[in-house]
Amino acid sequence: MKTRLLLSLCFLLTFLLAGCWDRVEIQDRLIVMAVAIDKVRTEDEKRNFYEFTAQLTEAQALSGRISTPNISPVWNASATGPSIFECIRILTTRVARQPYYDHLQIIIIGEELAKEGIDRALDLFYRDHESRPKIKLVIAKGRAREVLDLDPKLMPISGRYISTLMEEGEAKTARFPKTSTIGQFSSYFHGGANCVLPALRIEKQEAKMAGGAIMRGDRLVGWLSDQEVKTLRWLNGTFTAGDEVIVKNGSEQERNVTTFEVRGARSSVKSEIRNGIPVFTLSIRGEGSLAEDGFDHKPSLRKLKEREKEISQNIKENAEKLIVKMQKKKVDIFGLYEEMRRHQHPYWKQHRNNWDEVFQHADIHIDVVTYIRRFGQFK
Amino acid sequence: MIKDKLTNTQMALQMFAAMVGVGVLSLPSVLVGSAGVDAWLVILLAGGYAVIAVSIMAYLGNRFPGKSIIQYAPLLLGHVLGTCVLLAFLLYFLMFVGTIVRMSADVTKLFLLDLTQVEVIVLGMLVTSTYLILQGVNAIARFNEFIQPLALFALLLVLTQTLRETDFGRLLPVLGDGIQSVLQSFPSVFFSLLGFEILLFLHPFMENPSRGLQSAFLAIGMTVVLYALLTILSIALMGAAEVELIEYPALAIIKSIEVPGSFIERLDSIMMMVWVPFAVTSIVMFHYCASLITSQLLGLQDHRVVSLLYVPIVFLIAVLPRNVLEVEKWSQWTSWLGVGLVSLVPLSMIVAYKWRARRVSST
Repeated sequence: MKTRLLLSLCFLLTFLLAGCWDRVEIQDRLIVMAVAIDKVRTEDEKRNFYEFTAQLTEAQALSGRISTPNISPVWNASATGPSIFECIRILTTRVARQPYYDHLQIIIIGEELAKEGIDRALDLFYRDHESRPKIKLVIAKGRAREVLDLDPKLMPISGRYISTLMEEGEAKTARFPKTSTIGQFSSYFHGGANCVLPALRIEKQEAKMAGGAIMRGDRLVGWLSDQEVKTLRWLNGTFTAGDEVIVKNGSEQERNVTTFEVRGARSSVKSEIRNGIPVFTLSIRGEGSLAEDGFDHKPSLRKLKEREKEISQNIKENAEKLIVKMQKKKVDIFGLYEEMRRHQHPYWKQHRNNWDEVFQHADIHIDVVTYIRRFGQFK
Repeated sequence: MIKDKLTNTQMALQMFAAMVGVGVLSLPSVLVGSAGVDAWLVILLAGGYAVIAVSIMAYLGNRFPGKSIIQYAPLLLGHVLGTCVLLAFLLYFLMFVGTIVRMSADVTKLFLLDLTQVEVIVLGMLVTSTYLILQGVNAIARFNEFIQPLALFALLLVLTQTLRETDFGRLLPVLGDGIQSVLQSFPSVFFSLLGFEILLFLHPFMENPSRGLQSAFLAIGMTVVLYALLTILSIALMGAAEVELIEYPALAIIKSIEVPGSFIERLDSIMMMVWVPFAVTSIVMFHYCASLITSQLLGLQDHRVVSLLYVPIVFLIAVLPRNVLEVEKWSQWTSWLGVGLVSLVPLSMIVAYKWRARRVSST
């Protein structure tokens, strides 16, 4: 009797060996690489519609091996609805397989929607347990959907292409803003500060990361050019790698160009209150090497010092221009709000609600020092 | 009567196990919500308070060697009041177990077992913890000795990976809103340190009861450091305003780690792995103490029957709240009860002890 009981128990236990019954095999999953969110206007204005496009990708396509060439491994499926979650569920009525958002890499937001505020559209991505704070966030000039419809060269999946573009670009140039994930955006936005998100321009077969989108809170209020983003990163001290080209006004025949390859930068802010107006002193320290056109093949300490001074002067001028521009717009993108919270707390508490006005009249001094450490293997 | 003995380290780890529980995940959010960037200061303050409370408890325990509060409370406070106090402790422990189980089940459902019923998760946790309780205090101690250092080590290892993107300037200004706001948020923070009161019940089990205070200090110290570390890291990574909005900041900071080019791309599963034992050991400690109170009040030799009988009650407490906010409300009531007991009972008992001692010496 006892052995029989034991045997039947062993038999029952084998059912547990079946493993996880909620599993979905990887080839049955559709991995969503990228998501584009646009605003669409419809005739009845009652429901403010989102147009939500998910780039559904075969897992096989990611590895580069496509066995059936007639079937496209990528599909940009769109749905419209009043909330993102509803859009996702509407998609389910059209896509036969289960979309899987765990590996979502990038969210692209269309210009129209960005102008009205993106916080509501992103809410699901903060809330859902599948999404991570590391998802990249980009504002597209024009419609976001078109970015996913791109047919990029060399890479089959446009979402992956843009995501890699951002990573690679970040490492080599400072033309993209530093804030580029939904986690970072959320912590700026909820902290009451403004930020600059990467902006994207769409061409036929490629996308170009083109400067930054100025966000006041969660609303798009303007664009920054490549050069302005670079200046912004000098000011924030996040200029980790990239180039700074300085064109000097030489004569017609010899236009003098200095190219400075930046290897690192630091910036520090000092703040004080003078006559009820905040006064900031930003000191920027940069270092790097001369990338092109050294010292007319005759390097000398004096020339090097001169170059350093030129570069510093140039950065300073650009920075001042950018600050004046932003003060006119009344958008503080330099993190000065946070600086006030940290070091001028009583004043900040008093003026946190009208910071834009205070910022407009703030006195900002810039002090730049750059160091040219080396100039390569050729004199 | 008591055969089981605990070493100093085991005792410290028992208390650590009871103190560090479900709160780990959500603690920074709660703290920052009430104290802003000074949250970590409040933790240190609460730790100081816990040290004072635990000193009184150890003092009482040392006056009554071989006896726990279950024996000396009726002696000091009189039979009726003493029993009332013990019943209050019993209610508190059962409520605590119920809410902890429910909270951990909710988190597990959210992150791990999306399609499983909450009742099933609750039952699974209770069965595991009850099995351990049935083996007695020594088995619990050995289990804690094994699992706590391991979990702590894994957690700290994962946390080192978050350091890359921290900006500790976000913790500024220190005391920007004055000391008052720190003091005001003190009560709400103190909840997270509850658990050290098990010293009252476990003191007689110690091999070397005079070292009980040392173990307690060690446990409180470890807990405070862990909590402060989690809070500081959360603020440094995300900023106070964001931490306040995130439901489980400890998990969020780990989710934001990306190990470049590595096989384990996501470390949040490790966090869940660490957190489940933290939750389960808390349940074990409180459930064990609850059954200890009842069995000794009823004069039973063994706590096992009682602990089995408590499973359905705890299960009911766990499944009664209708949603997460209701769970939070229940847990708040429980915590207030706990704070009241922890603050008032040892104090009143020490007053009673001194008064009695003086009366004895004068006659």
